[in-house]
Amino acid sequence: MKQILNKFGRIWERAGIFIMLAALAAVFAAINPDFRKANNISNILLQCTPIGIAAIGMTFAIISGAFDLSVGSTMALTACVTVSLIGVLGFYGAVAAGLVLGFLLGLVNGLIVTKIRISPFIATLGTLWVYRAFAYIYTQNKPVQSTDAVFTSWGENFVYVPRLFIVMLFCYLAGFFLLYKTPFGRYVFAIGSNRRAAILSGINVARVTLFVFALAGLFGAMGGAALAVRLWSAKADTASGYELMIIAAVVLGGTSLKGGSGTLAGTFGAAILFAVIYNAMDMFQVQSYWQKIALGGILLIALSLDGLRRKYMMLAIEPVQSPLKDKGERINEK
Amino acid sequence: MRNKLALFDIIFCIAVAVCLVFAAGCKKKAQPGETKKVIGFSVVDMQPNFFQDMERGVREGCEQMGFEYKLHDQKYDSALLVSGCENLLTRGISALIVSPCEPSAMPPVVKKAKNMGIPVIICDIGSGGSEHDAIVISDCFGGGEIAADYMAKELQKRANNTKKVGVIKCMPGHIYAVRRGEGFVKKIQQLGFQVASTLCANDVRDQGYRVAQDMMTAHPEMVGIFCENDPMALGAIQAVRDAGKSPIDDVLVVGFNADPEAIEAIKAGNLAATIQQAPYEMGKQCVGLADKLLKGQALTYTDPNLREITIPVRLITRENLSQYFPR
Repeated sequence: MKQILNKFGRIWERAGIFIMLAALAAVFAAINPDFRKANNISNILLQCTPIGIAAIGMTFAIISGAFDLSVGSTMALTACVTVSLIGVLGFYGAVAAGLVLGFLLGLVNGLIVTKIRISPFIATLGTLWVYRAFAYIYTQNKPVQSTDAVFTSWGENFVYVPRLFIVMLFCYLAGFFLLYKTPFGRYVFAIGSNRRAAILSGINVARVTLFVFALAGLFGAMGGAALAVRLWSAKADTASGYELMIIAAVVLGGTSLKGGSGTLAGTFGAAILFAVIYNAMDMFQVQSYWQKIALGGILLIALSLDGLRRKYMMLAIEPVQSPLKDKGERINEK
Repeated sequence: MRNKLALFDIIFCIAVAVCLVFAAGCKKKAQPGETKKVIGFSVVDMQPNFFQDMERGVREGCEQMGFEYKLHDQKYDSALLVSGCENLLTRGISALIVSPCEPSAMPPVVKKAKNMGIPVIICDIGSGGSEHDAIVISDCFGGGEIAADYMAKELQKRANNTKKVGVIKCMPGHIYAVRRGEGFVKKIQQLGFQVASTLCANDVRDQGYRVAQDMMTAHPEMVGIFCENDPMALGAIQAVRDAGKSPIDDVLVVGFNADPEAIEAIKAGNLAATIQQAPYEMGKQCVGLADKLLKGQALTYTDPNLREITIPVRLITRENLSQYFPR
């Protein structure tokens, strides 16, 4: 029995999100003829992009044991700035400006956390309102619109694959490289799993944290640009509440809220899973009130999975009587 | 003990998955062999009465004209507006009716629909400059004129009629709300009145209060105020009362929209009148237009340049209140 559980736990940890995704998609496709249309599949891939891209930065933040609650506001502000600058700088220039702005906004978050030493939760809760207010002030609460041909063409498909989804794939490739192939990525894991040990082994924790927040801002800006491309416009109140959906996607993808463990592949799968569920609820004509219940349920499942996985890991390895305060947990997560 | 716990966890997970599948599966089965054309409707939000009435109009219109009907709720989220319409389009609809929470997000939706050869009719709010087939809106200009007629008629009965009135305007961006004031000003001037003051109160109640106070300070002889929406009218009547005057007998206040609070104020004798839009008729009209477009007939627009079709509005006063608001 224990062996089966161990195996199940390990497989679930590696690929649980993809198993869920495949199972749900298969069930939906079997029941609903609209769901399995090629058109709809490309819609889903398109619909997952803003949250999917922004979730990359959040994965870094959560693995390092931090949070960025301001990411929704960052998306809105950078989207507004990007769209408003298209007429001046052209689309690519405007996106570059938006990315720089997002990077700086993230940097400000990082500075508040590392220099003033406010906890990430409180610091980014504050900037959540501040950045949103900047967006309102910048746009005077009027929508900014553009019909620039290059801008709108990014919302189209390349054969059946949305161009935005290809952009998202490249973003994930960049994220993979940073997280798994650079010392920086290792430091992020190290800080998240044991901050003290990281400090003692000579990692510049403050600098890494600063860069993690800047990354969250950068990918937030990229997600904001994707959202603007979807809407051909931006408004100060877009993407409100996205921070929680993004965190939910990251956690659903298997990243531990306590930091130190997680995968980008899981986040990728979870972002698509979210889009699949949203899309399926429309396809099945689920009433809007019930949609909210479903969303809440997914959040609960995401969070309880985090706890459950912990428990399986405890089962997988016999708990060692550890001198550390939190018995076993840290060791099991490597 | 631990094994039992883990077993429970697995069962819990499976149960949740099963529930999800069932929740997704439990909807009415599509009747086989039916070839009814489908109309999709995406609504701003299903909470406000206004949009509930509009939805009922579209739904009943579809029933009467023999269309199948699919609804989507944007919940005031422009991203959901776009994705929901995309989803409707892939569900095999023949025509799309949208009441957009954010007009500026309409162009990508309309472009997608056009690529698929599906006509788009916008119901109220605004088009955001998209290539829609038609937009159905309330006759705001006419509503302003009705308000002016009513105000002139009431004021002419009075001894204190100085023939000076004020207008409190919505935010300049709201092109349809702005027309209400334009209609009012044009008509009231024709009737021999003078617009002593025109100020903007940005759609909201507290600014309506402040602006009305400023107006009465600058023009104490003013006998009427027209507000482009009801929240500002409610602010204005409070300002009139705080100045020790009556918002019916001394400074006649007329609003626009027939919000529930405004109806209460009319019942309580604080607000003289408001203009009611007809969301049910608007929704129904959209289905009629969709039907015409699907049969290949041309539409007759009120304004061909903007592809607008207007729906009449009506005056609500204390006298006819019970007729339109029975409860």
